[in-house]
Amino acid sequence: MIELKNLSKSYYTDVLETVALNDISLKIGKGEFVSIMGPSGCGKSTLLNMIGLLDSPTRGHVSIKGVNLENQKENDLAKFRNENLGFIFQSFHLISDLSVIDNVELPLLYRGESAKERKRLSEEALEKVGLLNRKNHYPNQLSGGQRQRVAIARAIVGKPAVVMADEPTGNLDSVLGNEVMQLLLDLNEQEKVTVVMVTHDESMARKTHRVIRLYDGSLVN
Amino acid sequence: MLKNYFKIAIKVLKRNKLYTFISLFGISFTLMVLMLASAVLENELGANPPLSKRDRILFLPSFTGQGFEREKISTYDTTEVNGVMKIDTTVTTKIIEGKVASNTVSSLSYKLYKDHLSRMKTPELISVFIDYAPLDVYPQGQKLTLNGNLTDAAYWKIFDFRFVEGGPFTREAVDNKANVIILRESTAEKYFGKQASYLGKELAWGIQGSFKVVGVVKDAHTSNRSVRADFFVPISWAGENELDYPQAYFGSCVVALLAKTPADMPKMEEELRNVENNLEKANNFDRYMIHEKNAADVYAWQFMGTQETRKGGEFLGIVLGVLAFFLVIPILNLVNLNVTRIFERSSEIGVRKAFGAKTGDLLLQFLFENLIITFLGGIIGVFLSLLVMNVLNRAEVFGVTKLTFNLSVLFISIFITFVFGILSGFLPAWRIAKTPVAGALKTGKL
Repeated sequence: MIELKNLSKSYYTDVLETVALNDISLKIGKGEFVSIMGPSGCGKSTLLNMIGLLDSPTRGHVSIKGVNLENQKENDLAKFRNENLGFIFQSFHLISDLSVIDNVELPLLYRGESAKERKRLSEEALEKVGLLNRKNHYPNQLSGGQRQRVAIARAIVGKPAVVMADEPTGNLDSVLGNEVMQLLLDLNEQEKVTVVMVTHDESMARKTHRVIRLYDGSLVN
Repeated sequence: MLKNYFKIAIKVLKRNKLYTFISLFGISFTLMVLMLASAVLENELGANPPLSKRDRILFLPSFTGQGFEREKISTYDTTEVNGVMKIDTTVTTKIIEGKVASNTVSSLSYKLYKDHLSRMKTPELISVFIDYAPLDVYPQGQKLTLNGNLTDAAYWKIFDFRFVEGGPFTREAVDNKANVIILRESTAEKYFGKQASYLGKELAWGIQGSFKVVGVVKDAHTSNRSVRADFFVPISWAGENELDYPQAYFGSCVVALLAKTPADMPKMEEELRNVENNLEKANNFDRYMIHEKNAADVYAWQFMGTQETRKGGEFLGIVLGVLAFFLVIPILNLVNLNVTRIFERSSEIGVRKAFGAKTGDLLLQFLFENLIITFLGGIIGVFLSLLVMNVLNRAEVFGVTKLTFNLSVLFISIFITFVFGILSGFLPAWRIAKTPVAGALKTGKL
């Protein structure tokens, strides 16, 4: 499903090169639930951004679903993300000016779905995360756990093949964190969605199929 | 999608009220000034009655006669007559072509019209009129100073006045020097008091006698002297000197030529040059020039240029330049405000891009948002314009010219607002649409 070959990412200033990722090669299979772990600043989120096509590597290749995504145009990458990837962020990143249902339908908006179809799919996704009754609320009227569930609904509304989750439980207490984790596990098990999750939480990581550990931008065996 | 953008736009406007106020104030004030300027220009230079055919009309308001310098050349010859030397002197006068010694500029004479201009072939219609005939009248014992136009019958075909009642006077009325008069609506009201109809009523004009009202026209909201008169009578009422002065081409008439099509205007000008060159030289004049002006030149003449020059294009260029400058400053200001405000939303941009928004989608979103605020500003601007127009009209700041907010001004206003919205929104929208996703997600707030 996902293949990284000799992936490196460096950030440059006038005098300094900072290596964020160093020669990463890995494969993630279809339907796999993988967690990425490592200390702060080791490059976990950078790696997730590379896999999620939110940032471009300095060297190396990324391919998803057999599509080599090297040298693709920005708009083509946007289309690919829209059709194949879903994102969950640590700080939810819901648009505060939009209602819950409007937030959830965001990926469908850029897919050119009709308003009726957007509503149907968004309600279906909200139903899955148990928040259909809050569809007309605004993000600031929800608890942290609820917001993250809305973010999950937004990530899955377009039925993506892969969901990227960047510390999805990082801002939640253990009870809410477990609820969110269960949703991701269900998503993976029932709908066979590939999930790549960055986490600091060893107990959450243990629930996934595989743990990839990073240290100073390199994979640790 | 636009519904989604609209919701966001309204929320964003509500979120930062101070910013919204500053933006709306700047936009509406700027647009108000531009709308007022366009209203003035539209009133003066738009194709409105009685100057709807302005793109086919050439005014001939003045005429120049020039005398060149003359050089006297004396030739001396000596001959011997009966053994005595005698000097024989011959004096010849040489005209120094192009070196102007005298220059006389005036309106045209009726003779010039009758003998030459009225015979022109290219115009569809030719009219002669006198646009300055001051008259003091005393309705209800109050002094009322009016200015009249003495016109021929063709005048009413070239200038499409809107008749409230009655109609123009005929060629027979002109030929027979009939005591008929056409009044401007506001003049009729001032002279007779407000009445249902003024037709058949009589206006006393000193020793000329009483004139019967045969028509009432809507006020012309323009400063063009050719059409802004308070009353109109047949040109045959002009003094004998004005009509029958035998020699000179100088007088007090204006001639208006109506071309068959706008494309015929150059041909008409060419024919005018022929008329000019074929005029019989007299009274030490070596060159004659008929000065033609279109409606824009006539308007510009109030501010720049002379009787001999045509400055309509230059004047419009300067006005548009000033307006563009006036538009650029608030646009830059709004761009600056927009950039600051949009970067506060970089996180939202990051999310939208992550979920598939293309550069074009984001450009559209932010331009749409900016157009909403500029259109809100435009609506306030329209109301402010109407208010200020009313004040200016009441105070008669533009004299007889009354500003009106007609359909053309409305369309111009919408266009200006649209341009303003696009220009002030494009740069911030472009910059934000190009922000890398990962970077955008790290910063800003939602």
